[in-house]
Amino acid sequence: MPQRARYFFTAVIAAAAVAAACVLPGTDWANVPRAPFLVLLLLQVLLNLTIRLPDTQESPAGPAMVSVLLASIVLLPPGAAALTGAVSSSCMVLRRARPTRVGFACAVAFLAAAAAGEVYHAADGRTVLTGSDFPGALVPIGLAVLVLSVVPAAVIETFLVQVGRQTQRAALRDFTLRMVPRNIAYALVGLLTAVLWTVSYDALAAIVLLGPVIVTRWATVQYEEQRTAHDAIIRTLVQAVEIKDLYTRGHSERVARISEMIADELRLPPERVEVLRYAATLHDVGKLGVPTRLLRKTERLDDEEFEEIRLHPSRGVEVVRDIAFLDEAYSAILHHHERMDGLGYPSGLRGMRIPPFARIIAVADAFDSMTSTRSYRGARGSDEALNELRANMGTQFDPAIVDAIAAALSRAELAGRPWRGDGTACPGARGGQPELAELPPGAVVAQFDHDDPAYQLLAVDVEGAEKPQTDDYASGSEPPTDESAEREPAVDETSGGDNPVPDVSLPAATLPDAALPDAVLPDPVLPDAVLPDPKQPPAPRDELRLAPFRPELNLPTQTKREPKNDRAADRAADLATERGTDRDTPTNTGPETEGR
Amino acid sequence: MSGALRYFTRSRHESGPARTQTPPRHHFVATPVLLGCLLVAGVLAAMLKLFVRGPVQMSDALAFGAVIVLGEALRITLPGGRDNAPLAATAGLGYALTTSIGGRPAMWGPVQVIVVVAVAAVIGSVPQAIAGRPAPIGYLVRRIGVTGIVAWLLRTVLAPEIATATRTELLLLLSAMAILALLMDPALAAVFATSSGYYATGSLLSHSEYGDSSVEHGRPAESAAAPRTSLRRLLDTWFEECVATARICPAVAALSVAVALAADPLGLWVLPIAAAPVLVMQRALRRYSAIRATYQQTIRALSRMTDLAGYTDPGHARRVCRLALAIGRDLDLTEPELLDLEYAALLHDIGQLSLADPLPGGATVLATPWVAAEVAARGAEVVRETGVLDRVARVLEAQPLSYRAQLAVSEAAVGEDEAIGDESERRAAAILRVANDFEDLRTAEPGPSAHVSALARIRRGIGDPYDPRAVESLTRLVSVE
Repeated sequence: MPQRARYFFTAVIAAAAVAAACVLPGTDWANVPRAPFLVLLLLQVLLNLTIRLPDTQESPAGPAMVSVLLASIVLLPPGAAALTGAVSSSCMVLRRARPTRVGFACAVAFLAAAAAGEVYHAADGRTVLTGSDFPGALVPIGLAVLVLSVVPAAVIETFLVQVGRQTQRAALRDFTLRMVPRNIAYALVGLLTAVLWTVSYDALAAIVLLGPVIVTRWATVQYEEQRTAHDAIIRTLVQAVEIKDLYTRGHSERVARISEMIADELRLPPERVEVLRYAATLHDVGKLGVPTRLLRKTERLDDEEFEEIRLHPSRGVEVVRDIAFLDEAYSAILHHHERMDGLGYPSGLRGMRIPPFARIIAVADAFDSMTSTRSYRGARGSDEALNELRANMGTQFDPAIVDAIAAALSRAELAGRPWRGDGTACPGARGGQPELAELPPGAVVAQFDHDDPAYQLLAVDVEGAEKPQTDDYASGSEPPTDESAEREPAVDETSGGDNPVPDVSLPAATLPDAALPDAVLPDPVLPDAVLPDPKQPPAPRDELRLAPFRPELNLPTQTKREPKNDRAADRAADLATERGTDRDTPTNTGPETEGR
Repeated sequence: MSGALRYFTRSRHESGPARTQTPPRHHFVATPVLLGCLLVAGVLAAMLKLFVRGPVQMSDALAFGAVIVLGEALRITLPGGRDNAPLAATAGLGYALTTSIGGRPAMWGPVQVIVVVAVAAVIGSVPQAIAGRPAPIGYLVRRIGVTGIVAWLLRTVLAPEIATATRTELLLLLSAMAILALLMDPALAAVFATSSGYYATGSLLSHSEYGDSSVEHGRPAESAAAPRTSLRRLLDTWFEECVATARICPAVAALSVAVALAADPLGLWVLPIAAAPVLVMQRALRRYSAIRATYQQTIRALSRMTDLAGYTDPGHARRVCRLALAIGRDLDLTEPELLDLEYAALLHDIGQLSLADPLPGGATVLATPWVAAEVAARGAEVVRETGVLDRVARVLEAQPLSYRAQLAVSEAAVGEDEAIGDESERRAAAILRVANDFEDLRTAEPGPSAHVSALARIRRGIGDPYDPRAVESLTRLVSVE
């Protein structure tokens, strides 16, 4: 625990002690009703003994406690109510919580209950509630609930922000959107209890209180278990796919982690980050359909073999398309090999027409590929990989996302968690080959990595060099048996004039997407951009290195929040709000998802 | 006697062709229809009576009705395909149990309760029906029927007692009524188990798109794995329903008693106060069932990975899963057992991903036992690595063992307490083995009578590789030409 947190804990506990010194002696202990005091104390002890021990995120006077505390506040004087909270919180000791945590929890519970009780009585709240008191009686109750929510939330969120585990904005959003409504609902259970108590149904009052609390807690625990299970099964099955190729082990998981970092940097809402994480984990599932002989092949692949590889995004979508909630992930999986200049596969989307998630995964994918060891080269450091990403900014990668990954990486480094790739890259050195003894039976040592930018460029260049002008990816990617590909021509119709390849040699100004006029210069068509041999260390490619670094490529990120640049604003909306690409083009969900 | 021994001895006694004789099942299917008709008639009669007599305390009726409508509109489907509307149930039962409201006595009779609950439930079901989820008739019968019976008992039979009861007596009476409702609801649900719920008997083969019509067409529809017509079966289902709803329904019952009692001091304010926590509870439940559904979808989707890699026939895992579930239901597996069986069936070929080259046709039955065992072991390893599907992993591990070997294992384990829990896993493994081998054999030699010859081959293996009970069940499901 950092020193600051320690000070903060001490301060809170001291504040609670001072409050106790003021409140407790003022309480008329002789007139505190015995039965409610004991039963409510017992209930809180029960809750404290059965709840999941709150991680620091959770207020100690968590949602369930709010209901009991509210009942105590209505039925008991403030001092007594606060005492029940503090005493019951101390029961966490029995569950081997750290003493500081217990002290902190007691202090927070005491402060919250005492403050809420004082407010309730100051606002002329009554201890006996009847129908004629309503709705007037709701005012002191509402105030008490508010105080009961605000005090622990303020203390704990301050703590979290101080420790650096949460930003202030997230804390505030968490409080207003999640905690307050939930606390109000729970407080109403407490209110019902208090009412029943005042008309002398003691036993029932306790049962009423426990019913919804137990069910909600049970459902929440089940939910969390299932969620963990869900994550675990996706991760494990994806690992099962990767087992065949030693070098891609852990690739999907790392891509998911980088994508998450990028998404955090772009401030995407948490629900979308989650979908992105799943999409990134599953992005290469379709690779399972690529015959292993292709992975083993050391010579250059021919056209048909390229097609096999090009099909993997569509195949991946076929696997996951029945998982309903992944919705936005389909297009991300389908298009994660699109390039900003439209030379990618399977649909050849260009620029902002590529779904935002696909752009993020493309960057994360290439970055992880470069920072991992491959059979034909060692892992590179993240700086080197970032430079390579920057060099391909605009042609292959979205500059905004490359900037985001750079920012995310430096932020992670500042926080003391530098990116380590697959663990084989060491700063300065070239990394080593993984031990071949680790190979599982039936494993394959892939001779290339389709995610490697060098390799991708190679694939594109071959196409460009061999079939200039007339090359048509969509029709070319049509194997006779694959039903998904049979629908490809229809896509071409819907995408209209977006078929990218004939455009490549045209002047950039004629391109429909004017967002990146400089970016679509036909850099990759240059014949000398072809790498002679993928086995060669693909290190610094001079053409790209020497190409003038164009600061204007950074424009979209810098002007992202400026409304004067329509296109940039569009892109910001694209990334941050809804699936903006849908209105741009009907094709970005791809042929495979149309039938859903 | 340990569970394992009981299972295996019973299977020995019951194996043989005589077991294929199943009793006629027509009248059992008729019971829900009968109940439905009865309910409709009852509701109509109640409406007529209410119309003649005139409703009382309309504002209260409207307020409770509005909450019921809201609750029905927010109906959720819990895991296992159980429909539930905690808010509507709380308000409905609360309306039936309320004896005085806002200081005045509650004058409404059971007839009015039935009409209010029925009308509100039907109105509340409209939005869901529009969204494509019409309320199952069994659900409405349960909701209206249980509330009606409780209202009738309390407001007619027990009316004199209520009038003179002290507070404590009232509390006890109302609690007794709530507990009665708590027991009646699963009983009705058990009767309707034939027509609702994901794991309900018969929902698989008769409604699903079982890829190959040979199985479906081969048998008369009414024998489609309908439940055994024994009282014991009904009691079992009732118990299962009670267990499955053991969390939610008691909370609802307690809250409805609280609503009824707090209505006296609070008046109609009791409704919003009680509704808020129920809604929070419902939200948590909805989230849970959503993630559960997603989880199943994910496993189903990922079971296709072996198809994609060319290791198995397209759709193989799903077909095996459907067949295994049908057998499992036929053999009265409980719901958690069926869930394990489902996951195991979907993932049973995952181990093939570790093979360098696909097996011919993906059929483990045609492979050497050594390879099959290797595939199973690898699959179990992968599944176990998730850390959450240990039971499924053990089912996968046990699957390649022959019935005789499993019998030996279970007999050796008799007397050790920890072995009892494994019995259901071995049973699931035996079922999975039969289902998988049947599928493999059927697809290995395509043709119009593929399933007949496959079945014949499986039947030749009764007792040695295959569990007789599972084979008999398969025979029941598949044959009957």
